[in-house]
Amino acid sequence: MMKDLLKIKKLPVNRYIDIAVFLALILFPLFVTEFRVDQMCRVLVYIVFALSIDLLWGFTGLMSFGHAVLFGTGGYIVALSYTLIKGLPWHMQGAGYTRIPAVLTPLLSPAIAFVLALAVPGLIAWILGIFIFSSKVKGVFFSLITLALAQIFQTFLDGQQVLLNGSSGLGGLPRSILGSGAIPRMGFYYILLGVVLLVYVFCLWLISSRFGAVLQAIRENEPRLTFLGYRPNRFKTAVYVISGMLAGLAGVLYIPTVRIITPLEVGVTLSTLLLVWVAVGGRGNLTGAIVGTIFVNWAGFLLSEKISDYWLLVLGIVVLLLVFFIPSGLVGKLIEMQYARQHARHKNAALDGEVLS
Amino acid sequence: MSRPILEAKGMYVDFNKFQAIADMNLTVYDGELRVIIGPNGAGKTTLMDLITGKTKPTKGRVIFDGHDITGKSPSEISLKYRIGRKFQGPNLFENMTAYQNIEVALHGYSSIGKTMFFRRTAEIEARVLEILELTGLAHERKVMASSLSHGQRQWLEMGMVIAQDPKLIILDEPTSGMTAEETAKTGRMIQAFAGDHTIIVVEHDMEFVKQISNVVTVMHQGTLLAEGTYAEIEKNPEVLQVYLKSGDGEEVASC
Ligand SMILES: Nc1ncnc2c1ncn2[C@@H]1O[C@H](COP(=O)(O)OP(=O)(O)OP(=O)(O)O)[C@@H](O)[C@H]1O
Ligand SMILES: [Mg+2]
Repeated sequence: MMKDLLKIKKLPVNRYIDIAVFLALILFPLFVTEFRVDQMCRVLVYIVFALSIDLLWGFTGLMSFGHAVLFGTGGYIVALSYTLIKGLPWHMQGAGYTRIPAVLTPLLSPAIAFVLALAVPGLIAWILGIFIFSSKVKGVFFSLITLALAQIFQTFLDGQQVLLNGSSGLGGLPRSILGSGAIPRMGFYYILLGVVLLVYVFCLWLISSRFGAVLQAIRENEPRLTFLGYRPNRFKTAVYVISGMLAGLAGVLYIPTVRIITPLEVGVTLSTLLLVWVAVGGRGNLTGAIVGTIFVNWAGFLLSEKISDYWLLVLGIVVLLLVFFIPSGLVGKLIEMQYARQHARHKNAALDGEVLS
Repeated sequence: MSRPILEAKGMYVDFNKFQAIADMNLTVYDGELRVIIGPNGAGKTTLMDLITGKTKPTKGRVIFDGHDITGKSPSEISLKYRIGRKFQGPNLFENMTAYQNIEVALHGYSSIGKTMFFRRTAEIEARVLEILELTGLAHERKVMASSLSHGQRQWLEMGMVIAQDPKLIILDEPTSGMTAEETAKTGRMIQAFAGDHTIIVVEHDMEFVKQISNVVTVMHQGTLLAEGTYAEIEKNPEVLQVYLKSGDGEEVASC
């Protein structure tokens, strides 16, 4: 009995939160309107995106200000694919095209589009990683470059009138996955939830592996790691690629969820918001990314309904206060409290000459 | 005497015209426990930086185990040539547990593929626990490095070096900030490792040097001042003048 209790105690507090959150997400659509289900679908997509940045920022300490570039790349590839499948879009007809240019024909296959939507963000991250991480300049340099990239990306999309319909973006997209027919709302919600769960399990596996320990060691003390036979740059590039592909996946899921994509929606703002979600929930434990994304987005949805004028200001202040007073985030704070309690108990036990297992 | 395992020959280091190391020579023999002493700023840590690849020499060669390792990267020196180092002032992964600190240091799994598919087998766990036991940290295995006491932090880093399973162990001031009791415990630990490793210990604490030493190397102003047993060093007038009498921190290298 006592032993069983101790065993349960061994799970960190945030894993219980994970279980509770996933249970709540399973039950959620049964009690709310379709409109709320749609809103939660968007949040589920953002959770995948938030988990991707948590690997990079929370665990490895690499703060990217331009993660929406990778999200947007994945999203736009799939959006273009869905658009082309419907036939030659009018913005291309207007530019004088009479049929789909040969270079774009691979996108007529949704499967190829899907693979590209993961591979291209991965490739971008890989190239960036090789260049940025091997340069001598460290830390804030990465944030600055990625921020500049987010801005360039948004401007670039705005300018792609013929291919991507410029600032109006690509709209009227179906709620379908991999070329399937339109999926009913409920079914789609549970597919998304399934993907979120898979991504979560993957991230959990990754961070619990020795690879994950090395990532955290990079965050804690990168120079020290080089004296233990590691080449941190390779690990940083690797996690950037993994994170980039997950961001691409989130972009892919965004398309059937929101069914329109514009440069503004995947611009600098999204990159920054992403950091806010994870900061509010807490970095480097996966749960914080999930909880923070749900919390900030739903606070936004509900506030904007109640006070249509000042909601963004109110939300901004709430976020600011949270980050200021709870810098480790909501979940991060809970984990710290649990550790402090266990540590105090451990110390007392040590004084009594007991051995804790 | 056994064969030399480490030879640093004619080493020079300039930091913006300041000669931190000037014509330093050091030979350490296989299986030896060597102590390096010298006043603050004598260049002891800088010499260790040269051996472990942290700093590149302006001149000179480092030969280790038959290989020229001059100017090689820290990761190559630690992985391929197997030199492990404990830094002056603990240098740890703070927000990770003692167990994780040791596990990350464990030799043989430092490529990306190997870290991803690393299996925590019973043998590996036993090895980590054995090292924690050896360094007196078995009960602290789930404690974050940042919550350990100063002495425990020093021991944790010594444990990490052991986990690297190096041919040469470098310990830069392992007893600094320790109580007399902790210092004695550290001495016993080092002597336990000494059996099957070559060790270089940089130290300030003379009692401690007496306890563990075999041959002592004395550095002063970036170069070799004297070498011999503790008894010999103790009587050497030059050493007495620059080091033993002056105490710590009195000697400032002129720049
Ligand atoms: N990166 C650096 N740049 C400039 N000067 C340096 C650098 N590293 C060390 N020095 C200088 O080189 C000299 C030797 O320093 P070092 O740390 O090797 O001495 P030490 O013998 O280890 O001293 P201590 O006993 O205080 O640890 C000192 O004067 C120090 O200020
Ligand atoms: Mg020193």
